[in-house]
Amino acid sequence: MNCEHTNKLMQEWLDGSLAGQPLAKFQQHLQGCANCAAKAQEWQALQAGLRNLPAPAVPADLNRRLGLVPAVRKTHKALPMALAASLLLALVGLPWMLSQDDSVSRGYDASETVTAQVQLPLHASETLQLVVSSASDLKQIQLTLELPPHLELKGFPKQHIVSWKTDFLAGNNRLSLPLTAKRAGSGELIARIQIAGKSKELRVRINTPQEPPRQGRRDSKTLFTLATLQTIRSNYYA
Amino acid sequence: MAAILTLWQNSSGANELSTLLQPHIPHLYRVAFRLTRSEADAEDLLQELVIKLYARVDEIAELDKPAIWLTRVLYRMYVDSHRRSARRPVLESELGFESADPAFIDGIVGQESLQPERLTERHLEARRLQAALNQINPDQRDVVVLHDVEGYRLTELEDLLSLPSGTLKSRLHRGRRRLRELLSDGTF
Repeated sequence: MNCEHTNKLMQEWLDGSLAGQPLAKFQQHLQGCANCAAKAQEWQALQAGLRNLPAPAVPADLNRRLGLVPAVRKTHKALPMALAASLLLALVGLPWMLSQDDSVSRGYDASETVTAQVQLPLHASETLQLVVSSASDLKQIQLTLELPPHLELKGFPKQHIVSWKTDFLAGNNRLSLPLTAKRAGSGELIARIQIAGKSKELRVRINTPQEPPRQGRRDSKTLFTLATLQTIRSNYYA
Repeated sequence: MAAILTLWQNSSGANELSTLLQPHIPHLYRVAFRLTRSEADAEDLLQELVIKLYARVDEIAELDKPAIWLTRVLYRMYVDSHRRSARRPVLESELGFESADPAFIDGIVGQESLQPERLTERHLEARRLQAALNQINPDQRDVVVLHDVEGYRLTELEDLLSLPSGTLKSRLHRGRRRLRELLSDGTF
């Protein structure tokens, strides 16, 4: 094997994909050629530098911020207090965390409102996902949805207020709302959680512009723009 | 009302997602950081991933090798959204070079016990390398960081990036050569 051939195989050698006879001949050449050996060493040094590039440690509370919580957590708090202090209301899984400390230090009370804004194209059907994370099991919560006039909930034609009772388990509870924009307009979808006279609201302003959606594949992220995510995150960190 | 109750998917699915995802979060965060080169953007990307995966809990539970599958979904999301948004270049401080966190310094020097001057060399080398990486073609950079930095094999990357072996090798080799050029011409 000559220097030119060795040079051609250098990258494959770095990839670790050189084997058998070609690898043996490659190594043999390096042993007898100081020039190629020096080049190989330089490439190896580059690769070692890349391998040692630092990465930040995973933030200690990343799982919590991502809405990933331990499966079971028990609490003995009275329910109204638990709602006031431990519910976290999140739009599309965002870590809108309200720990007990936060709610006290920020002066939040139980009548709290979280707002966000998304786009839903005309005549499009999309599923809006709301995630409510609770630090404890909560029984018999009254959940009420109020829809703006231009939207319809699949299975509930022309019905703009839907209310029912449900339980929350500790952890993330997800509500999937298949929505269709019947006409252009703008209005708030309100998800209200009530228990023992206390309530929390998530208000999502949903805009449906006049223009029809563009042709082609529309993915479900249309509803959840990055700008919305950023807005909520900056609120969270504020 | 029965119909609306079926819309409510209580915490069993979400908790199952937590159980399935949590072992992979450190790895996914690291890959997200390598790709986005920013801690904040890495976290944004993971948040988008978690949201997307809420609807795919059953699918994840069936996977033999969820790590590769999750990384592939993460990568596609990164290409679809983050990379197209042409983010600003990464700041050195975001890489933690100025960090006083001893654990982070440990991460830089590995398990070796080094003298302070050698430690500084490592910092400078890492800083130069990252600055050069930021300048190369994004397609090439993705393959270089996944292969040479994160240690994925080419066969794994074929699946992860949905690219044929020839294209992968070409991007990897060109990326490395470009890095060498940038580092040796005194730019960094």
